[in-house]
Amino acid sequence: MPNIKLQSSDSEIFTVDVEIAKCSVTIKTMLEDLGMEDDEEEVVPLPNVNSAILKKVIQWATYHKDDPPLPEDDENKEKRTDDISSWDADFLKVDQGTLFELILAANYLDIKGLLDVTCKTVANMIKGKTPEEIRKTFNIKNDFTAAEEDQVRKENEWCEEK
Amino acid sequence: MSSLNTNVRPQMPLRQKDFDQQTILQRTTCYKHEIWGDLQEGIEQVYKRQHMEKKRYMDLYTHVYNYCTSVHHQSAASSAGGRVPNNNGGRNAFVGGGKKQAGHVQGGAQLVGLELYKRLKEFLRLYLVNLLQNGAELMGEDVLAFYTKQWEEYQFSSRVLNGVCAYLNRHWVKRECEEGRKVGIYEIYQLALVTWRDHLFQRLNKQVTNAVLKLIERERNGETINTRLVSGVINCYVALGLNEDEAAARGQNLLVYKDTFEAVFLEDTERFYTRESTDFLRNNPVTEYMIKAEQRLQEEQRRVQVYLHETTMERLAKTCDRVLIEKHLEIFHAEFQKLLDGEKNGDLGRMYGLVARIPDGLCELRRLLEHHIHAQGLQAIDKCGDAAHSDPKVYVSTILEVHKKYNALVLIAFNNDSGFVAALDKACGRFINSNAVTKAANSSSKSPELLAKYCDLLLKKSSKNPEEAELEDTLNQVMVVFKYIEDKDVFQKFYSKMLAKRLVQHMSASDDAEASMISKLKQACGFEYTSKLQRMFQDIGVSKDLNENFRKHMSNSCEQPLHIDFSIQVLSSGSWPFQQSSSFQLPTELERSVHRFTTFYSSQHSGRKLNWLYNMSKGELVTNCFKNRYTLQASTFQMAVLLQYNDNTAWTVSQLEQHTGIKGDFLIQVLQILLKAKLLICQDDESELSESSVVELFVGYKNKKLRVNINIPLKTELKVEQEATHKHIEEDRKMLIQAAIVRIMKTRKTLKHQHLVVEVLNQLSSRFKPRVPVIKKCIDILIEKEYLERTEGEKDTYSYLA
Amino acid sequence: MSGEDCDAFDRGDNDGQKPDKMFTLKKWNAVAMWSWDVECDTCAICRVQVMDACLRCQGESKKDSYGKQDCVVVWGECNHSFHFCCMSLWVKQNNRCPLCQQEWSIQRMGK
Repeated sequence: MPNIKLQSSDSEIFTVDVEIAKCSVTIKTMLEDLGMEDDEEEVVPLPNVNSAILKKVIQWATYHKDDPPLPEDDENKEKRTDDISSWDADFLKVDQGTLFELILAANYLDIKGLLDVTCKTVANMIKGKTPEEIRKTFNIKNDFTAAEEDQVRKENEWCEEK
Repeated sequence: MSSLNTNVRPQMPLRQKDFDQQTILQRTTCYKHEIWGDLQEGIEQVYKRQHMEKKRYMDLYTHVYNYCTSVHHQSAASSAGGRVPNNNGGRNAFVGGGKKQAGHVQGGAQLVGLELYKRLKEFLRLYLVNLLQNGAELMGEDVLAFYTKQWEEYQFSSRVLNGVCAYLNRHWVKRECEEGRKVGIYEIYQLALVTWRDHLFQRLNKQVTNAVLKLIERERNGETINTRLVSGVINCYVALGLNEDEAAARGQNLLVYKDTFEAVFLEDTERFYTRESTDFLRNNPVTEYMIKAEQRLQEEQRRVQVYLHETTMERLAKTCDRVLIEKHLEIFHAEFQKLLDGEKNGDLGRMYGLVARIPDGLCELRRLLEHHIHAQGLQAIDKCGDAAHSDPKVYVSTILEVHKKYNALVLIAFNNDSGFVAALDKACGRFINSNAVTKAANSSSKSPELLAKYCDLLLKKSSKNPEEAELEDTLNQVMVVFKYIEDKDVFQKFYSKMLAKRLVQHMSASDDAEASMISKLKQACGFEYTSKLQRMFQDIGVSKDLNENFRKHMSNSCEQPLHIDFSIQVLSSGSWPFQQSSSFQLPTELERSVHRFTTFYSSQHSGRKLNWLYNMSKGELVTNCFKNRYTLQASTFQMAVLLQYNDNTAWTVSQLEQHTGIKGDFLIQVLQILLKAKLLICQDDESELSESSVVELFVGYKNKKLRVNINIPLKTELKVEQEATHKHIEEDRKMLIQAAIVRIMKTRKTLKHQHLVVEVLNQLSSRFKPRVPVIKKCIDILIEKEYLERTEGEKDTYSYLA
Repeated sequence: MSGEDCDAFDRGDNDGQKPDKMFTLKKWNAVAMWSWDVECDTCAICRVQVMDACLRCQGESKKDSYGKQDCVVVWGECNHSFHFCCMSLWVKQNNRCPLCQQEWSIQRMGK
């Protein structure tokens, strides 16, 4: 089982099984294009991911390494947010910052499964909340004027009616 | 997702005033320049096929990523302008699928992606334009080597580039296409292909295609070529045929390949082979040409497999067929006849294989074959001369030989093609039913008659009876000929007559063979055809039992024994083709047997009457008046005459007539045989016997054998029989035709004359072919008998009279 | 002539012993045809020859001919004859001879 060395932005090196690393399509494509040369010493730098996050990502990938490939997104199908597995839910019991970092890392590394589950988690955090509550959760400053806010509310009244 | 620069963790709330639009623009512009600088260098590395470390790769990838995500600030800023806050496509930001509302806000991200995209496009264009200069002047194999090598490398590099720009593909390009602004926007790999197509391919494809065609021509002329040069070009053309209206411009539509290459290739091929085939035929025999054509066809097939696209196979095959075969069909047809005459089966098979590729190509060949077989059949029968008319074995064997030969030909050379089998059948049907023999006899019924006679020879006991397996085989062959006989009813009549004789005289070689033949006929013609034959069989069996019972009865009875060895065959009248006996007075010696048996039979069955067929009965006489004691096997009539000589040694003809009850002409024939046998003598010549001729017993009779068979059938008897049979057949047919007409008219009620004739022909076709004048006659008969009438007011129409 | 011959026969068991006979009959293989002792050879009911099986029997046993042996003839008192099967069905409807209308009763049956 060949290994590969991944280097985080803060220069920490993680050695992982190639197959696990290939959860990231970015890494997978690179290996295919450049050839998996025998040079196991060559390190793959990931400048946009720090070690803490990289660790988490590797942890997730390791657990999910045998997952069947995800189907292509059907644009017309409604996406659910209630189908997060318990392990994933547990895995994602982290602070917001980490959560958003994971989203960015998944996006950067093109790991669809991780991206999906993290976004769903955030979506769940937004769901059902009033605008004020959302602001509180994510620490967003309200930059609407009162008039603007009113206008927006009016435009979206139809959503309220069920 | 709002606002995150990837390398900074937001700790503070985000406020518009933190972001000065100018600053942002400045910052991002510099940032962009830096990125592009390094990125471009990296891309050059890729296209120079220099070894790339994984680190470098990730750097480049990250550049693209950063580039694409670098203006999130700006979009966040613009979104604060009071629009619905769903920047970057709202909830599905990273997975694509933005809604129309996102349009306006996309402004920021889009511009950056676009710029990068434009730069990539320009890079590729420049690269290719430079490359072109190196190759524009090349021709022939050089241009091919150049093109294929460059293409291969370019493909590889573009793939790497595609991987590096994966982020751009995934987000910006995808969204562009979904938004509908896809004109000219592709994933990076496809962009590379399109650029190649527009800049390198457009300029070089003529030279390249020409070079390819020249190579192919050289290969066709026997040279070995570097096929990879060709396959490389083909793969490139195929790859360039993109479905441009698909978002990712994936999938192939082969348009480029077809337009740039295939069309010209086919033209070239056509020219090449037209010339080659015409030249070759001018200087070589057709048989040689066929071999070459076969080779060429195989060669072209291999060509496609090795280095062309599989879709070309069909069109190429059609072109070759047209040029190599179809154009020369006339020559083929002329040659076909020659090959048939020369019995060149291998060449015939080859021609079949070639011509079969042309739709409807085989029609003429089929026609020629039919004609040929027909002529051959007639010729073969002619060659036998008179033997064919009289000797059934010769006749049938000749037919079978011809059939076997051409059956084998059709099977082997023509692949048992159904059209050719039909030609064989038609030809056989024609020459079997109408040939020198049937013409001489002036009747198509001669064929079935001879065939039936042949069966008789096979099934009759003789000195050289073949083995069971061989016999079975021969009978099967007889059935082959039987299939073609039109007048199957004639065969049935003759066969049943001969079978009857065989059964009554116990002359069957093998009961199994008899049964086997009957079952074959049943299979071929149905139950009705063979029911009478079956009945005959049965009667023989019943008679055996009857004889047993009679013997037992006789030995148990207290009456006087018969003093003669008596046996009898009792047949069901109606199933046997026997006639009534002519007038006859039973000799006293036989009276008792007849009487006793009749009594016995009546006691066994009620309501039955017996009709004794003396003309079929025979027996044995022992002579006591000659030097030796001879045993004469004689017919009943002969016995009657000879027994008269127990009372006197000389009688006149008229006296014999009186005593035996045998009528004049017939009696004379009987006497003629006895005279010939030298048992009797007469002053008058045998051919001039009269009522008053005196016929004496010849006491000096001698014979080498002690058992003498004088029961030779009378010649006239035979001839009369034959004619009678034919007459019967005619009458039977008339009845069948009438029955068919009545059947048809009963259903149709009214029918036009033409249609009626056709219907009759159809209905009876399995038994025989009715002649139209005979049908007409039958219609008239039925009109007379008031089964039909001519419909008033309508021409040529009949109506059924109930 | 017959008387003489009869004497000759009755006198002895062995034939061929009497020297005055030129020819003596040793063996006779006869052939005879039997048919129903009828006046009209067609069954008026089914129009088939009486020697053949009636239409119903013909249709039934297509396989073996043995079945057809059983299709016998029947005579009425009026001496008219038909297939037994045909007549059996006929009498169910009408107990009169189809040809002469006399009351039907069986005189004899063929065997």
